[in-house]
Amino acid sequence: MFRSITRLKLCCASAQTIGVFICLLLPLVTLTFASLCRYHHTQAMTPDVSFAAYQQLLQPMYLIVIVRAVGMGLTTTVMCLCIAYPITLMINQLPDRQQHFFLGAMILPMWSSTLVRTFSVLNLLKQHGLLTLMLRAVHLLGPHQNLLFTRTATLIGLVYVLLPLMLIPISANLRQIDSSLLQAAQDLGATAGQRFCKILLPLSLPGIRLGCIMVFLPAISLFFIPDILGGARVLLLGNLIQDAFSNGQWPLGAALCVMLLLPITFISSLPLWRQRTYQSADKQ
Amino acid sequence: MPHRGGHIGKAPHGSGFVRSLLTKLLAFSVAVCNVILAPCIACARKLYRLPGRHLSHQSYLIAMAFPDIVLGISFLIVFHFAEWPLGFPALFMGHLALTLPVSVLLNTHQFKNIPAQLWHAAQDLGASDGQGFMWVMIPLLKPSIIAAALISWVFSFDDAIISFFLSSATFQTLPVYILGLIKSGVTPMLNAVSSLILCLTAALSVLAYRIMSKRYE
Repeated sequence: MFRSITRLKLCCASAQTIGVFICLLLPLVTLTFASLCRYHHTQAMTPDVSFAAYQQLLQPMYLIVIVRAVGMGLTTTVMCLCIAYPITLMINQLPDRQQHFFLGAMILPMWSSTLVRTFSVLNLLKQHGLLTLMLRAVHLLGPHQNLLFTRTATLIGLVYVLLPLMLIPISANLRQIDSSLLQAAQDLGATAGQRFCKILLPLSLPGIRLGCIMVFLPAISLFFIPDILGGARVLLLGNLIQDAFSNGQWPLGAALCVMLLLPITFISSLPLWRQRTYQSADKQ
Repeated sequence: MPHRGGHIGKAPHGSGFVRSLLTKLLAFSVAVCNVILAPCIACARKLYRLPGRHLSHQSYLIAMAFPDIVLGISFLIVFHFAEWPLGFPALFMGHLALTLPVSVLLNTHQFKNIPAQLWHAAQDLGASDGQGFMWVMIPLLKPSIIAAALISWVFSFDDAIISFFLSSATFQTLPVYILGLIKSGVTPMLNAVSSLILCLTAALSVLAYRIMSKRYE
């Protein structure tokens, strides 16, 4: 009996080790290592410790692209938030059965292929696409103006594709909020605005933060959306990385990835600490 | 506008299409690997409380936030340095890194619905560790295991970015093939393939959602 215990435990322990190794350590270590390699035109990279790739990133050319990409990501995040928050608030007030239906409908598109959804947006935005025709009908778009292959098209695509990633954390968070708090506030004479600003918004901040992280990160790295909808006029960080790798400048691409990973690792470990302090406060 | 109608019948004859259907095999093996690994990892954290479980949990939360492109590139670099050819093994590793965090978190979450006494009761009644795992834990974890399998299958089947970096000339996945098609111009066949994929993933997702929401009843 003792042998079988150790065997199962050993299985679990090794699974845990393999998982951490494949999911976290391997990507982090290889990227850091590759970003410190030196670029040589005959070889993708030569193992050598140098910060040449990072210095290259500080050139004005790259800085401009990076700043623009981050701007694009922020715009997408804010737009997603502005669309998703009112929707989830409305869904939250529906009866349970309808809530389940709408939540399912929100989660469903997240599971279908991002590429296929981008392609479907392409069909809406092309010269005789539905959205282009509608915008022309209300004269928001000139008769000879096109929507496809512009910054706006990329933005529409990004918001459309990433909206579920914002909806899901916010709605999960809103469902956890105790509605008796709002009733109590109403009984004590708070107006609708006060109830929203002082109770609902602060309580839903964790969901908003998680949603923003989940939208912002893909929004700066999904390279095929600007490729398909922006017609190579818009560059995201993902495009920079992809270009660096197809040009054989592997250290540069790896350095960009590391720049992308540093804030991720930092931000995504942040909410957890917060959560822990809340929990310990509850126990006391 | 050539060949209006009958695109679906025409689609499988496109070159590379049949080969890219092998993706199914890839997604299937990724799902199987998830089914084996994820419950073990969840048990390591919740059942045995092994050392390093917090680090492991934290690392899955961080890995969930990794953009696909980072995973694709890091495995590209690994295979480049090891001088292994790209293709099935590289894609398998990349997709495993993509899907494992999700299925581990699903399985760990399922533990919230399982009373810890059941495990101890089984041991008190004389079940060995292996028996307790097989006949108590696995049936209790069944909804999350099935949901994790379906999700990892869908994620692996749909993934375009990791596959873009890791496919070889001879082993290409369906989304990579589609990406190439989109860049070369929209054809009716593309519409047909896309709608087929949408229907397939939608059906699987509804199934997984049903299975996962059952436990609330």
